[in-house]
Amino acid sequence: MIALAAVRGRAASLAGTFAGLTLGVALIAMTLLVHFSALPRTPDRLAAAPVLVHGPVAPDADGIGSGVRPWSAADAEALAGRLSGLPGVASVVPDRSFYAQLVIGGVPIGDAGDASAGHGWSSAALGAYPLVGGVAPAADGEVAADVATGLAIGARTTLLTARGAAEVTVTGLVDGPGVYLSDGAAARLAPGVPVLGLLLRPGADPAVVAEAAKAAAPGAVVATGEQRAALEPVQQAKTRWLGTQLLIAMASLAVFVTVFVVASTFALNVTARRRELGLLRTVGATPRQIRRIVLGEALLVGAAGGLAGALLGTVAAGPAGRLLVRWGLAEPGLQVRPQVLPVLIAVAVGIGVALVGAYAAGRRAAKVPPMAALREAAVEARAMGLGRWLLGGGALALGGFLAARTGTAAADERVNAALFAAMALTAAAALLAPVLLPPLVRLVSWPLRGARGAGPMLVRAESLTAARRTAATAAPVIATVGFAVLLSGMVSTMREAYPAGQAAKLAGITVAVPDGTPGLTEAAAGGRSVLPSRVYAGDLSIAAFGTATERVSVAAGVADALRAKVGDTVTVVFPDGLTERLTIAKVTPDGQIDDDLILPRDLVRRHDPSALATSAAGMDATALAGLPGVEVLDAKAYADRESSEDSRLLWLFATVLIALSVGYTGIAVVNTMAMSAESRRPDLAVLRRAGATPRQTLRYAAAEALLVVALGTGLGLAVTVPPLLGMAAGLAQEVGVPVALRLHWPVTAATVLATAAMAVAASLAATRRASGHPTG
Amino acid sequence: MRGTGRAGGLDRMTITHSPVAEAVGLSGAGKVYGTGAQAVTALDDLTLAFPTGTFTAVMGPSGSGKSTLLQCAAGLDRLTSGTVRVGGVDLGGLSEQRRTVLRRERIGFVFQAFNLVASLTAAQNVELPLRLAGRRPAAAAVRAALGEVGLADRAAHRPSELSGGQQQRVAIARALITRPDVVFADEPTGALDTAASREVLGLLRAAVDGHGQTVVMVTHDPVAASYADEVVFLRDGRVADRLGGPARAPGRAEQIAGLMARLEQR
Ligand SMILES: Nc1ncnc2c1ncn2[C@@H]1O[C@H](COP(=O)(O)OP(=O)(O)OP(=O)(O)O)[C@@H](O)[C@H]1O
Ligand SMILES: [Mg+2]
Repeated sequence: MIALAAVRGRAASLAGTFAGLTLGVALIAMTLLVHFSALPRTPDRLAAAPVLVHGPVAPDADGIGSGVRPWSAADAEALAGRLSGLPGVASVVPDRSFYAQLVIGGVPIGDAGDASAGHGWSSAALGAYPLVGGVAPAADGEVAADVATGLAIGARTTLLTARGAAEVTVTGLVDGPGVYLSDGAAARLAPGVPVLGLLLRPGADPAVVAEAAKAAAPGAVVATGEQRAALEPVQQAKTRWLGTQLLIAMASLAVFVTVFVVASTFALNVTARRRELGLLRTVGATPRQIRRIVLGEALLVGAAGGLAGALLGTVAAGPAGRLLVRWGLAEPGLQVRPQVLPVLIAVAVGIGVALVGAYAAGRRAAKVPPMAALREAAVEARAMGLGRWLLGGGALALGGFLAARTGTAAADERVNAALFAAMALTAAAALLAPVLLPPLVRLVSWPLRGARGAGPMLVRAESLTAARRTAATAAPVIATVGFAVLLSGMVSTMREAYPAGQAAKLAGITVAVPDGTPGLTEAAAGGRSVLPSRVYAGDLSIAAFGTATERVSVAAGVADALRAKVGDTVTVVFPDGLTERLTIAKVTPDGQIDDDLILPRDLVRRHDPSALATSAAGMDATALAGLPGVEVLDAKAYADRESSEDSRLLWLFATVLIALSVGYTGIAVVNTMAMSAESRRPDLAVLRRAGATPRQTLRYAAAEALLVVALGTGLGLAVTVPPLLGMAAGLAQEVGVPVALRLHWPVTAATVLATAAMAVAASLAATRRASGHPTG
Repeated sequence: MRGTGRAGGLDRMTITHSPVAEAVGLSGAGKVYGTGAQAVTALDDLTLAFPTGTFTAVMGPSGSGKSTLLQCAAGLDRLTSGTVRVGGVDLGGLSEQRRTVLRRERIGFVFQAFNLVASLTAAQNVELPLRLAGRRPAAAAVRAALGEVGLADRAAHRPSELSGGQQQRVAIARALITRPDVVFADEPTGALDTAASREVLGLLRAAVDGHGQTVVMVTHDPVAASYADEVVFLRDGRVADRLGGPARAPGRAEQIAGLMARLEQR
C-alpha cells in the first residue's frame, strides 16, 4: 500500500523512470525478437531433402565462423553407396558448392558476395528446383541457369569460375537460384563433398531413415527437420554475426542506460524525500521496511514500464528487422515473428534492471535517520558512502582494464570492447561525481567569484552543498556526451587509420580488386596473390591463406587451440576432403589480419580448386583490361575502397547507437533537471520571499542547468579518452602506422548544444511550475 | 554500558522494574552535536524519570535542549553518553532494527509540523504504524481513532486538504492508535489557535487519565503546560527547576509563566 501510494503521489517525478524503462524494455524486446527471428534456417536449396548427412560442423578458434568438414570424392562415393542401400532411400545426392558466376554483357550478375552459387546439376533435386526448359547440363561447357537471369536456351555466355572466364552454352533453365554445371565439372571444381542429401521414397519416415543413416555413416552428422539449419551458407552466418553485433551493442546499451536512468532518478527521489522517509522511520518503519518501499516502487514502475515496453518493442520489431535487411545486416528473407519468450525475457530484464537501479537508492533510503523528519532543509552531511566509493573505484578499475584491453582486442571486437570500457568509465564518473564535481564547480565558477549580485553566489552554493543532487543531475549528461563522443570518435579514428595503414603498405603499387564478384580468379590474380581457404584440424575449422612461402606458420591463438608448437606436425583436412600432414615452422603473435594459418600457395590451390583471391597487388592494368570482374586501382583508391565498406557499417553502427543513447539519456537529462527543480521548490519560495523576481529565479535555474551541463560535458569527454586511446593503440598495431586519437567535432558540438538546450528548457519549465505554487 | 543493556534488552521478561514505576528514564544523559570547535552540548549529564501514567510538560528557553531530550528519550536519536530506558529496556544496547520495533510497539510521537505523509489519506496515515508492524488495521478501529479526534468525516482527505490543526489531530490519532506506553509530543500546539490547542491537550490528557498512558510534551505555552501533572524546566541542557501537580489547578498557568520568566532572566 505504501509503495503504491508513494508511486501515486509522485506520478510526475516517476514519469521519467517509466519512460526510460519503457524504452529500455522496448529496445531489448525488439532486439531479442529480431535475433530470435533471424536464427539459422534450413537453406531453401536443401529443403527438399528430408535427411541430410554432413561432416562435423567445426567452429573457428575464436568461435565466430564455422565450416562443415568435407569428405573426399572417393569417401563420399563410398558413403553414398552405403546410404542408398538403406530402406526408404530413393537416391543419395552428393552436394557440392563452388564459385560460379555468369557474366552477361561483360558484367558479372548475381550476388557479388556469394562464392558458392555453383553446384552440380544433381543438387537441384535437393531444393526441388525444376527444370523449366531445355535439358540438364551433361558435359563441360554446358550450364543450367536460373530462369530469372532472362537467358535463353542455347545462348552463349561467359562463366566465371576460380580458374577464370570461359565461354559456355545455356542448355537448360531452372526455376531456382544458382548456376548448375554437369556433375563431372562440379566434381573437378569442388572435389570435396560436405553434404549428402537423401531423397526418400514416398511414405518413408525421415526419422527411421535418419536412424539407419547414423549407423551407416559413423562420425557423420545426420540432420532432419530444424537440425538441417546448421548447413546455412557461411555468407548468411556472417551477415547474421554482423547483425548480432549491432543487436548486442544496442541491447547492452539499453540495459546500461536504463540502469543509469533508473539509478539516478531514484537517487534524486530519495534525496527529495528524506523528510517523508524520516517521518516513516519515526512512525516505526524499520530500515528494512524503508528499503522495501523503495524497491516496491521500483518493482511497480518496472512492471508498468515492462508492459508498455513489451508492446512498443513488439510493434517496433518488424520495422527494425526490415531496416537490418536494408542495411545488409540480415538476410533478405527475414520475417520478424511475434514470440512470447523474447518479450518475457525483456520484461524480466526490465524489472530486474529497475530493481538493480533502485538498489543503491534503497540502501541509502534505509539509512535516513528518523531525525530527518524534523530538520528543515535536508542538506546531506556526507556526499559519499563507503559503498559508493567502493563501487565507483571498482567501476574505474574495470573501465581502465577494459580500455587497456581495447588495445589488444581482435579487430572485429574492438568496437564493442571500447563501448564496454566507456560504459564502465561512465558509471565510475557518475558514482564518483560527488567528489569530482565540487573542485570542478570551483574551477568553472572561479571567474565569477568576485561578481556582484546573488546569482553566482547562489548557483555556486547550490551546486556545492547539494553535491549528490548535482551529481545525479550531471550523470545523464556524462552518459550522453560520453557515448556521442566515443562512438563518433571511434569511427573518425578508424576511418583515418585503415586507409593510412593500407596506403602505407601499398605505397606506389597498383592493386587488382574484384568488381561485382566475390574474389579474383586465377587468371586475373596470377600466382602471387594471397589465396584464402579453410582447413579442418581436430574439431576446429581454420582460416588458411596460401601465400608465396614454403613454410607453414600459424597464429598463436590457433596454435594454442591445436595444442601445437613449432616443429610439431598436425594433420589437416582440406576442402577437397584430402588429408595432409603439416609441420609448423613458425608461430606468429595474434592480432594481425589474415594469419591464422599460412601455407604455401600451390598447396592450397591443389586442394581447393575454387579458392578466390581477395586482391592482387602489383598488377599491370593493361594486362588485365577486358577481363570481367576485375578492376585495377592505385594504392590510395584501393585503401579508400577497402575501408569504405567497413566505414559504411561503422557509421551505421555509430549512428544507430548515438541516436539511441543520446535520445535516451536526453530523457534522463530532462527528467533529472525537472526533478531537481522540483526538489528546490521550498528554496524557491524562500528566494522569492527574499525579493527575487520571477525573472531572476529563472535566470538562476538556467545558470545552474548550464553549469551542470558544463560539468557533465567535462567528465563525459574525460571518460571517452581512455577507450579511444586504447582503440588507437590497437589500430596502430594492426595497420602498422601511428594512429592519432580523433574526435568528431561536429557530432560532439551538436550533442553538447542539444543537451544544453534540453537541460535549460527542462529546468526553466520545471522552475516556472515549481514557483507557481510556492508551498513548502 | 551497552554490553549490559543488550543482555537485558533482548528479553522483556527479565527486566527488573525500579521501585517507582518509570515509563522512561534518563541517567547521566549527554548529547553533543558536532565535534571540535563546532561542538554544541545540547544535554549535559541529565538525569530524569517520567513515571508511568503521568503527563509531564518540558519547558525552557529556546536552545535549552527540549527537542533533543525528547528525541533521545524516544529513541529517535542516540545519546553521546549516559543511558535511556524505555519500559526498563536500555535503548543504547539495541540495534537500529530492534530500536525501531520497540519504538513502534511502545512509543508514539507527535511533532510540531511535517507529521503526515503527503501522499496518504488521513485514514492511511493513521493506519501506518499498524501496517508497518505487519498488522491488518481494522477499519472500525481507524474510524474510531479518527472519531476520537473529531475527524471521522475527513478519513479520505489528504494532508493538503486539511488545516494545520486537523493535521495535528490526525497525527495524534496516529500516535495513539497503537495504544503506546509513552507519547512524546514536541510543541504539538505551537501552530494552533486556542480552541484547537485545547482540543489537542484534552486528547493527550485523556490518554493519561483514560488509558493510563504516559505523555511527555515540550511546550512554550504556560497554559498548555498547566495541563501536565509535572513541569520540568530545562536550561543549557540541565534540569533547572521542577513544578509538581496537580494539573489544571486554578492560577497554575500564571505560576508556570512566572517560573519561566525567572528562568529566562537568570
Ligand atoms: N542537528 C544539530 N546539529 C548541531 N546542533 C544542534 C542540532 N540540533 C540541535 N542543536 C543545538 O543543540 C541545542 C539544543 O537544541 P534543541 O533543538 O534541543 O533546543 P530546543 O530547546 O528544542 O529549542 P527550541 O525551543 O528553539 O525548539 C541548540 O543549541 C541547538 O543549536
Ligand atoms: Mg525544539
